[in-house]
Amino acid sequence: MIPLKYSPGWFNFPSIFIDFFSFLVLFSISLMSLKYYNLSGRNKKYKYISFAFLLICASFFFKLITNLALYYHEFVRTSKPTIITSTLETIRSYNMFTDLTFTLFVFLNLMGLYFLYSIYQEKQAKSMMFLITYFVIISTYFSNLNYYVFHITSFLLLTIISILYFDRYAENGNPHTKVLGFAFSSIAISQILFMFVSLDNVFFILAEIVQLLGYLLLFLILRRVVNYGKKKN
Amino acid sequence: MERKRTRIDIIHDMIISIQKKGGKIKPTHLMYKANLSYNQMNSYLEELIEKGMITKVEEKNSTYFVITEKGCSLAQKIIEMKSFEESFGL
Repeated sequence: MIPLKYSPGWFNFPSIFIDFFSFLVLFSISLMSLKYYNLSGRNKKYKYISFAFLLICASFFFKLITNLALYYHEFVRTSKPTIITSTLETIRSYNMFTDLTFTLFVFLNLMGLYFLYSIYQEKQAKSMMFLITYFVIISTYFSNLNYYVFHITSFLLLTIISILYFDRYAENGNPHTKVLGFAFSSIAISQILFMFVSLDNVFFILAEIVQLLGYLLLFLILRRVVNYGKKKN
Repeated sequence: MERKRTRIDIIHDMIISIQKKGGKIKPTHLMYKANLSYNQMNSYLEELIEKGMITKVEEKNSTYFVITEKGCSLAQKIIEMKSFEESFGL
C-alpha cells in the first residue's frame, strides 16, 4: 500500500520537486559532515552524522524513484485510454518494482532516523541496536501492508529527535540548534498529515508543504553555518 | 569541566591568534595567545609551515609568523566546522 498515489494529478511535479529538494539538502548535510570528519582528524561524531543523513538521503532517492514510476505509470495509463498498454506480466513487475523501492524508502528512512537519534545517546548497549534494527524491519514489513505504520514510527522518531535538539538548545543557547528542533518538528508534523491522505488528498498537499518547510529550515542552517565561517573570517 | 582541546582546536586557536594580530605575530605572543607550551607551539608551527598555512619571516632582528591565503581558508573551514558542531549539538 503506497501512500504516494494519493497526490492529485496537478501536484505530481511539485511533489517530485519537494522530494528532490529534500534529497539535495540531506545530501549536502551528509557531504558537509564528511568534509568536517576529514578536517577534524577523523572525529567519529561527524562520520556518524554524515552516515545518518546519507541513509535518509538514500531513502529519498528510492521515494523519488517510486514517485516517478507511479506518475509515469499514471501518465501512460491516462494518455492512451483506448489502447491496452500493459500486459498482466508488466503490471506485476511494475508492482514488484514499486513495492521494492517503497520498502527500501521505509527501511532506510527509519534506520537513518534511528541512527541520528542514537548519536545523541551517551551509551547504548549493542543488544539495543539489534533490537531496534529488528523493530525497524518489522515496521518496514507492516508499512507495506498499511502505510500508517511507517508514518507513526517516523513521527515518533522525529519527535524524539526534535526534543533532543530543543534540550541541546537549552544547554548551548545556540539559535541554530533551536531552528534544527523546529525543522525536525515540521517534518514530524508532516508525518501526521500523511496519515490522513486517504481521507482527502488535500492532506497530501499540506503534508508535502510542511515537509518542505522542515527541509527549508535545514537548508537555512546549512547556509548560516557556511556564512558564519565567511563572516568570522 | 572544560574539555581537553583537540588538535584542530589548537590549530584554530593559533590561526585566530595570528589573524587577530593583523596576520602577523611574534612567537612569544603566539605562545601566550594560543595557550601553548614552547615545545607544543614548535611542533604545531612546524606542521603549519610545512603545509603552507603560515610562513616565517625575519624583520628588524625579530621573528614573525605570517598567515598565508591557505591558512585563512583553513581558518574559515574550521570556523564553519565549529558552527556546524555547535548547531547540531555534537
